[in-house]
Amino acid sequence: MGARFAWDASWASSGSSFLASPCATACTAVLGLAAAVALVLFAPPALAAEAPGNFHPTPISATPNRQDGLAAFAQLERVLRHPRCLNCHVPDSPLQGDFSRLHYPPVQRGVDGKGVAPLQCATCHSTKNSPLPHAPPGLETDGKPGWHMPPANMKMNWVGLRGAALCKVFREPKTNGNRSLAMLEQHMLTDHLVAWGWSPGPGRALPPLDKAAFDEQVRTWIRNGAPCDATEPLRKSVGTTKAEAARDVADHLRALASNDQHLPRSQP
Amino acid sequence: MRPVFQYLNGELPQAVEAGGPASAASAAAAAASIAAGDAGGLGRRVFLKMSLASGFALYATGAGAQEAAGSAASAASAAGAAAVPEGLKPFQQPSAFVAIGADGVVTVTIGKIDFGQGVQTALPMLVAEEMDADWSKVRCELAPAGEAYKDPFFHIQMVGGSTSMKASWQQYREIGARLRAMLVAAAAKQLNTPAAQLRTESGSVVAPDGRRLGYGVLAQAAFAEPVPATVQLKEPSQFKLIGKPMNRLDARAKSTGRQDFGIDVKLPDLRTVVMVHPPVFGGKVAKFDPAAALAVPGVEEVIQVPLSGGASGLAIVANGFWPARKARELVKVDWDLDGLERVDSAAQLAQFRALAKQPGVSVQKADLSALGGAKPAPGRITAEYTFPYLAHTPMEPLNCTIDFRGDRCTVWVGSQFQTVDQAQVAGVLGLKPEQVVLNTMTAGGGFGRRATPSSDYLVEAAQVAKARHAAGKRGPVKMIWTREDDVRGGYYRPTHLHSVEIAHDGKGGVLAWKHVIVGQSITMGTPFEGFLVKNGADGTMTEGVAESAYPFPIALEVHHPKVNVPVLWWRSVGHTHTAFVMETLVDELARAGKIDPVAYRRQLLAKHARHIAALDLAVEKSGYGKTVLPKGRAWGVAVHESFNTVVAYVVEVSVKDGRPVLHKVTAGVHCNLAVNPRTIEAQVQGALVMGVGMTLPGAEITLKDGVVEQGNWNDYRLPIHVDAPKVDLHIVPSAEPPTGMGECGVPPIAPAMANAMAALTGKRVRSLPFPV
Amino acid sequence: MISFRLNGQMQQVDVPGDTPVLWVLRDTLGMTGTKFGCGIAVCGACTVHIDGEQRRACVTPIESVAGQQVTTIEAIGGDRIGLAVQDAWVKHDVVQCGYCQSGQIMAAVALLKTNPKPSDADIDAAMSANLCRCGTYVRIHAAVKDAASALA
Repeated sequence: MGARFAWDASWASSGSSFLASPCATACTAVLGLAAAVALVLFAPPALAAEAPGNFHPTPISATPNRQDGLAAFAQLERVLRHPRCLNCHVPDSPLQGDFSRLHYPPVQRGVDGKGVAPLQCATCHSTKNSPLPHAPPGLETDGKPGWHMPPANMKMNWVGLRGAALCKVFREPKTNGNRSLAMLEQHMLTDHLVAWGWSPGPGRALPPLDKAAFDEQVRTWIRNGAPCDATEPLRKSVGTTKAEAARDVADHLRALASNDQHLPRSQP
Repeated sequence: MRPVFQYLNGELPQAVEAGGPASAASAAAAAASIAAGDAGGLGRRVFLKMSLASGFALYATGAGAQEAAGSAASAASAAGAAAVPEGLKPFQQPSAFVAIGADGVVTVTIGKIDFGQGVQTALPMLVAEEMDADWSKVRCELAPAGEAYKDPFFHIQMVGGSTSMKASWQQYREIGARLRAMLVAAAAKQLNTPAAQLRTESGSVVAPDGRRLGYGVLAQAAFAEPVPATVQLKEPSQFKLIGKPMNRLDARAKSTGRQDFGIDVKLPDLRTVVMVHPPVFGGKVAKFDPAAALAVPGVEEVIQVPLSGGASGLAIVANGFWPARKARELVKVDWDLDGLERVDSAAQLAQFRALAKQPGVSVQKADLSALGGAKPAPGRITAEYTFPYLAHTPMEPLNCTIDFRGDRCTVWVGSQFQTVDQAQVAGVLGLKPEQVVLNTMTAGGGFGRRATPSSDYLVEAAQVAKARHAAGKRGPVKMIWTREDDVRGGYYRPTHLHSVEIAHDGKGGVLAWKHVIVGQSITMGTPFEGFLVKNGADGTMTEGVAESAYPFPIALEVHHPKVNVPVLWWRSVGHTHTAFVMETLVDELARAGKIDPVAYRRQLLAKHARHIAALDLAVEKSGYGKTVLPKGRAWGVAVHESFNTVVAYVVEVSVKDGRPVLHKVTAGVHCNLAVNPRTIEAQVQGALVMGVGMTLPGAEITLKDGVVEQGNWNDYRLPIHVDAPKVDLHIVPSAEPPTGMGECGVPPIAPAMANAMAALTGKRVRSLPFPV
Repeated sequence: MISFRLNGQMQQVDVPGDTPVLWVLRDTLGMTGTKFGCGIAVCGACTVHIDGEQRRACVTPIESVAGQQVTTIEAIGGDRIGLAVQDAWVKHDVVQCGYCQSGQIMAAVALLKTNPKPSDADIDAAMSANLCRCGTYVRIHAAVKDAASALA
């Protein structure tokens, strides 16, 4: 189901033939529901907590420089590989602390990344950091405890990876939570769970770049075609932002509901 | 006189039980020695009174002491006749221990604290049995510090050394029997029937014609009757309660949040105190800035107070725990750490190794010629064992509430050492012990930590109360140690090194055994020194090797380095490390001689009937030698006597990712008569979990540059639910006077596991925690 | 002023919003059945239920439970599952010192609410975050299983 609803430019090319199919009307309700479900299931987990839909993504430069891009990634990966990020970007149970030890008490990720009831992340991770050293970190999402990991079907695991391998997990939608480059940039720069890494509470080491420097390296990497290695083609488009993608869905749903033969907003 | 141990409306009770050395001279001596920083504030004279004549040493292990203890008890309780004391002592007076309400409720006040061991059920069972009480109407309360509640053998009010049942067995049964006689005497008058014709049954006195009077109706008259000197105790065959598995009297309260612990005390006008301790033992405050701390709403003041051993710290006083705790993160302190020994665990190991190579204090001599050069023995084992510092960390953080009124004071504390604590608090406050009411609170675990000869945290609380009183501040203060204070606060089971060289004949015969133990002395410099240190060797370190039941020719030497880390007894004390060394070496000798480890032990322990009985029972019930274990699983065996009780474990262990998985433990226990099998089961299950905990990574306190590296249970690891095995417990039937169950379940589990791992992997484990 | 429901009753407390629920219960309201063991949520002695889910009160700021239902050990016996768990605890004589048991029981109730038929592995996983220094785990395990079958 993921490929069908991936928010990148390839959607538009398949759109017209789909809408011309005889079952367009009959499939409306199912598709509408499916689209709504897809939006919920495949939206980045911290959707509600990111800045509202006026984020302006960094576009790819007209003269991208691969070396500059690679150098930028080499810097930003120092943050990705730091315990403040790495501890939850793991294959199984979360890690803990500056030495990335096995999380204690023993806990499991769970299907949704929020733990296995009754021992959920929110059992111990509350709405804010504690002033006491070694207390569990906390943050708030819509007034409730918001601490969590990536879900089981999109682990975003990069333990043991670096360089090109890490870069590809980070960049590719099928491993990064279905994010276009624009969405990835928005996530890095504005998501509050990401930002927590720089306000982790007492006794936790900060990432090796400050947040502003990290943000700048993200932009530089994207601007220079988001390269991961020395030879693959540079990216040519940053794709849609979440807000744009959401508007696309809304447009499609409206079009289907009114049985309108208009083509989708973005056309080849 | 009924002891009063709670007060309401801010009024202190006027009548105070006499406690401790009740003379101005000894109180002054106690005060002087506290001022001098001497932990022996109680005064040496009290401890010298502890009589060894009964053969009942605090840490008696081995045949000699056990027999002496057994004979002292059995002489007094030989069938049908009780020893006749010359005039009753306070600890023999029923009125101090039992109250009966008009509704027939029997409240037994026990002189022992219950911090989980189950004495608050088992001791009332003794009383209820002999007085034929209705068990459904029995309640229990914990006595405050008081003369009547001093242990009849140790002459101080205390719990330790797994002695509560041993010491109370005779005492509490006699109390019950005396009270029964008084109830019958009162009933005889009211029923106009000779006492000899009356019988007692489940809370009533019954006449031959069936008329009955309940104890509630008889109570007032009964307590007015003369207390008989001699009493007749029941035969074991007559027991209705003793020997039956009885549920705890406090089970429902503790399962519904209704049990109050020391930390739960509520008083009008109470302040909460959180301490700031130096980062290195012995440190002093050089200067401090309380400004940011004082800005926290609810914080009243930050004051400097002396701590034990010449150290000093700060007390943050607030209207609740949270403001004080937050404020602690904000106080700025400069510490004076000049001249202090700054212990480093890695360096310490090297120092201990070097010490072990030098001649030490000789505890036992034996012929070591087989270890010499001329003709090498067929077999040789050279082994070095290491054990870390261990913190007790009982579940309830240490706490003490004090209301000091200038000329008297009341204390609420979960104390294992009431007499000692009362005297030392009195010393700090310039009071006589009898001016201090010390209420014994139910405590959330002890394991030895609440029996500190220096009364360390109580003295801190008293210093805070004293400073506030001197500054004109009134009202009670509740000092709560945080978990960090506890993990970093010292009084650990000492770290040890054992260096062993054995020459053997390859057939299980030991030709020579040289054994050196290095470790701090727990009792030197405390009032217990005279009792437990002999010729420079501390018995609390050598127990389990020095009086081993095995007939090995062990030459034992010890070194007691002085180290700037306070140390203390930790559940099963010396046996925590000596049992591991002995039981793994015995296993190794058996395998070197190609002898089955169980058969080997049976040969060596043939003269020790209780060891054989416990071992045989565990072996039989476990299926050892009969059941075929699944592939990858091995048997492990260990048997060890501590505190007069023998425990044998047969374990089933497999190894996964290099770590042992403990599947099942079959236990054989010889504790003489089992008063309450349910208590015994709980103690064995719990003690063996604690022993498993000693093997887990993270179960160690280490220091770097004088600072303890751990701080809470995130980095000082305890065993968790999934670490507990299946346990199948069997008790050897016996009618001999009971021996203790508090600690004996700890020592044999780690060596049994190590022996199973050696069978699986061929590798010997020489340290706790098990190497990863 | 922060308002919340405590065991079914409205409460209003005037304390700084970052005060943990644990200390509001114990110091402000005198409800000491919920215990302080470690202060950093690794021992579970402070376990309460917030809107039916288990939470560690020592790290939950009171302002975060405004308008929510807080249930403590003192009232959990009024719940069908809570009563079954407490009865099983007494039947199996689980407690020793008892200090951890409020938290153990609240955790056990949370388990049985989400999983009425837990396996041994389920019980191990759910209960291994509640420490017991007395080592009563063997009987805790038996009591949870017994409560589950009594409720079935």
